Order: sequence, then structure tokens, then C-alpha cells
Amino acid sequence: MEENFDSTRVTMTMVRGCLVVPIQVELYDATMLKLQDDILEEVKEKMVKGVIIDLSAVNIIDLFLAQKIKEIISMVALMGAETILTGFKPEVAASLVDLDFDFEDIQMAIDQDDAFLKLDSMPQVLMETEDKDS
Amino acid sequence: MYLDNNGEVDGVFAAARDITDLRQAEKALSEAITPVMKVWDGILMMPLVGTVDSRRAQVVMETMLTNIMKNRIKVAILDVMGVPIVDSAVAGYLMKVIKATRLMGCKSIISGISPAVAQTMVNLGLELGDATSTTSLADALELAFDLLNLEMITK
Repeated sequence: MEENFDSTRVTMTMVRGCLVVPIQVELYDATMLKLQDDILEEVKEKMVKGVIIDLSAVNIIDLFLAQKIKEIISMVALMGAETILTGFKPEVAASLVDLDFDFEDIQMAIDQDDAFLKLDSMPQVLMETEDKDS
Repeated sequence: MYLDNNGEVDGVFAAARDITDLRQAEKALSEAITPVMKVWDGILMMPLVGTVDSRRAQVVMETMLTNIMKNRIKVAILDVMGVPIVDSAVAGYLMKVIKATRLMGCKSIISGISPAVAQTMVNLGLELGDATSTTSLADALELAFDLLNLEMITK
């Protein structure tokens, strides 16, 4: 069996100047590292100010995954962008609380709509629509 | 277990009862006594009445989280006026619910904190983290509207 990590690449999209990362595949160690690289690369290339990581397709989260996500968010913050986590399923939220994992100051939203609402209220996150007016 | 004359195991008799009905009834009762009410678009309220043990806390958590997801709830009000004792165990359950709702992008307000409960909690060194708490449900509701940028205007 050939293992082709490229085929499990997460497809990211740009919406209103923000990077939307839907986690829809099972994330093994190597895939996670690739995802980390990809996100940071996009943040640099597209000069993104806001990142939305959508976890609505994730059914199970373990401490490793949670920790990795937290690290990615810190790296993105160092590069000057704000991250919002969305789509935590009830079971996932409950197990993370049971594992006593703390996401500290990271912002959460119920879905992508809400995430964009939150990003809108942050002056430092520039949306492309603003530039069209000037 | 049946033992023969030498004290060795001769046979085992086992009985099993089908308690599916019992379990289902228990589940239905649990859900009935932990109602979740939609107060407004994006605001839910759950009144807790009676003692809260770990099993009840689990049901509360599941019910609330599922409801938050289904109805895109932004503010969840948990009313504890009917809970006679808020000790460290109960405060712990409340903290868990508050944390889990936060993960789903929902803000929690604990209402119904009576003077007695307030005293107990401080004396025991219990805190509710970054959740807001109020005494009256009305105050909690006003706060919820404020969080959603809604305003009440007299006609």
C-alpha cells in the first residue's frame, strides 16, 4: 500500500481575505506537520490577517491534536494573524473539558458565519471588501 | 456457584434481567427534569432544580451542548436558584459546563446565585472562572441581550 500524504492534503480557501482551513481528514503526525507548514505558508503568501480553523468534521480530538492546534495558532499569531476555532461538536467539547485541556485565550465561534462576525469586529483584521470602497 | 462435597466448583447459576425499559425510563426522567428553554434567538435558559450529582451534571452538559449546536446559541443562562447547595463538587460541574460551552463559542451566565450560595462559594474559595453570574434571572437576561447587541425599547 502506497502512502501518499499529498492526497490527504487539507484544502484551504480564502474568503474575504481570511484563510479558512476545514479539517476534514484524519490527522496523523506527518499530516499535521504538513498542515502546519501549509497554513503558515499561506499566511505569508496571501498576507492573511485572519485564519478560521473549522473543526466541524472532527469527531474525535486527542491531546496531541489539541496541542498541535494550539501551537499552530501561536505560530500564526507570531506572523501577525488572528485565529478563530469553529465547529466544535458537543462530544468533542465535552471530552476536551474532561481531558482538562485549556485553550486559554483562543477565540471560538459556533460556525464560520459567527467567526466572520467576530473577525469583523477586530480592527486589525482587514477584509478585502473594505479596499474596494477606497 | 454450586460446590460439591469436596468444596470444588460444581456449577454456576447466573441470572440476568433485561433492564432496558428501566434505563429508558431513567433517561426520559433525566431529560424531563433538565429542560432547556429557548428564551430568544441565540439565547437559551436552563433551570436547575434539586441536587446535582455527577450523573445529572453529565445530562445537563450533554443537553446544553446539543442544544447550543442545534440552535446556534450565543448565550446560555444556567439558573441555579433551585439548587439547595453549591459546594465544590457542584461548582466543579458548573465550571465544566462553562468551559465546554466556551469551546462552542457560547458565553455562559450563571443566574440565581442567592446570598447564601454566594457566601458558601467565597468561604470555600470557589470561583466561576470567566463566567458572569447574577442573582436574578432578569439581570441575566438583560446581560444576554446586551451581549447580543440587542436593545429593549419602550413603545
